Amino acid sequence: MLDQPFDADSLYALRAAAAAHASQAGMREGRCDDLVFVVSELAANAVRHGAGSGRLQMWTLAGILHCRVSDDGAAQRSSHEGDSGGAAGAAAQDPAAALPVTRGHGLWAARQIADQLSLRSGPEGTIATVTFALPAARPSFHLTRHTRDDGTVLELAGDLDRRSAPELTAAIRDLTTGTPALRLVLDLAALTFWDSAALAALITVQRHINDTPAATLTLTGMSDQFRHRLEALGLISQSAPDDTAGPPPGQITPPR
Amino acid sequence: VSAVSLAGRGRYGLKIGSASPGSGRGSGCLMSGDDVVAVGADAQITDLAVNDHACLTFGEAEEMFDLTAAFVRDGLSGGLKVVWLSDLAPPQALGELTRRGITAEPAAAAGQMVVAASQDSLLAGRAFAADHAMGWLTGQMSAYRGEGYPGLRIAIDMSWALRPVAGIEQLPGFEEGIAAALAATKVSVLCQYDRDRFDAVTLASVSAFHSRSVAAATYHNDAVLRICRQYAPPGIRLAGEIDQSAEDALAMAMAEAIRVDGDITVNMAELSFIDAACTRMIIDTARSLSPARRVALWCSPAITPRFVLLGATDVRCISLVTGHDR
Repeated sequence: MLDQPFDADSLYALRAAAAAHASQAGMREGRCDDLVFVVSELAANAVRHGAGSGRLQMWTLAGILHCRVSDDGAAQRSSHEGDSGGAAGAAAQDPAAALPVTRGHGLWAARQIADQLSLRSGPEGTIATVTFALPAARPSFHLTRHTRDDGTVLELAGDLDRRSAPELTAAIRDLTTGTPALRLVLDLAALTFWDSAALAALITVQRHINDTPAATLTLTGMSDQFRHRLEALGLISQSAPDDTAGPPPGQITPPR
Repeated sequence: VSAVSLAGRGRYGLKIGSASPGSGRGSGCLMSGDDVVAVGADAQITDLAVNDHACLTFGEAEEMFDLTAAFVRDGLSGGLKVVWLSDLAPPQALGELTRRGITAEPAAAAGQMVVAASQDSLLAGRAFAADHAMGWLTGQMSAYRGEGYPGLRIAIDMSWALRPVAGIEQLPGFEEGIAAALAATKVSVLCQYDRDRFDAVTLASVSAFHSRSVAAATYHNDAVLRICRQYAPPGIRLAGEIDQSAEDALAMAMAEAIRVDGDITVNMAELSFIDAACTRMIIDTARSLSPARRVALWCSPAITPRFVLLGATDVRCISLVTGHDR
């Protein structure tokens, strides 16, 4: 949720905040530029034709990013740079009706670009709301634990990144607390994404297992590319056999 | 006497008063504010004459390439020999000129244009010696006449002097030597200094030896947006983000750009945001021109859709060029 006031001198900061927020919500670059354009036009409109200042609120609901631009109301609404002539009378009742939604102008362009745009005016001012669908959500990170005769298997599914990495390290800390002689297998087959926070989490986990004398850790299921990276980081040994009949690849046991 | 004044570090800018195109000389006035002290420019790049020793200050690589391209273009079209000591590898340097519409490669093939690495020409190994560098210059000055050219233009990118080079304290001596060597000749030298990377003391120590100071005419310059004139190809250049708050500066820049005859370019390759009002102003300006004139809009990928949506493709004289495929 973003809630930021703006006026004529802070539109640059408003654009930066909107871009950061949309990007954080998962919007892709081009659509992010679109959102910034639309929000900027709505805010400029509030500055030019409304109270001269206002606020932007952004929130995500059910996969849709909502942006609400409201002016500070109680404004002296000067007539706009006339391109919807004769609207002055209508403007007295409904200021939104007088806004220049004319082909080729800012609000018109905003309407073409946003998924939905609504304008309404009341005594508290004009409120513009636009929505943008977010790209289909990434699979959420998911840990599944299986207990087998030869140990405990943790299946990692989804994106292991800055947000989800703490979940992994916390889960393993809990497991070793309950079972000091843990024989742990981390199955990475369903991992969809990793970043440096994921690498850091795996290194942290390895250190933690190494500090627990009776515990062992095995990594399995990773792509060749990810395996090479883990080898380079010393997380798994390069001589690990890639043979399902033998010990799982990437075994780092016994702990040093 | 140089018109370069220098009283501190910070952003520099030249504000155009009532300048008409091509009459830049004397039209500059210093922009100053609390933390803004300017190196003012007293000449446009297109105004340089024979035996000028000009000090070009620039803020971005695009600006330096643009001004260099204009210097090279005017030299080549005047039949002069042109030498550019660049910080780039020669093929890249030629590419930057070609991209700006300069027939640099044929000129290089014919020997009229020479692009060389500044390091190889001015330095002896990793050391700088004013005598050695002057030796290179006098060699060039005696060679061009033998090759049958009526004059010589030399542009020197001074970026090498930002690196740890022994003997760099002799730089002012070299600049003084150039000034003396050019008197009563048909040779002009354009020294190119990055005004943000060179320290104030160095700029001050060399500025006095130049007969002219040159910079891009600038209509707007702050942390968010820069609007300046583009010289090759002629037009204006926008960098940063523009919205209606800069509409007046944009209007002035566009008005000056179209006052010159011929095609114009609005270079927005480094512009990351433009609002509907400014997009429309550029399109409307182009629409107002006679149909024979062309307006090339160089756009970053972020802003091309704005121009298309607001009708640029309906205006016959506009050509939209996106990204680095220009």
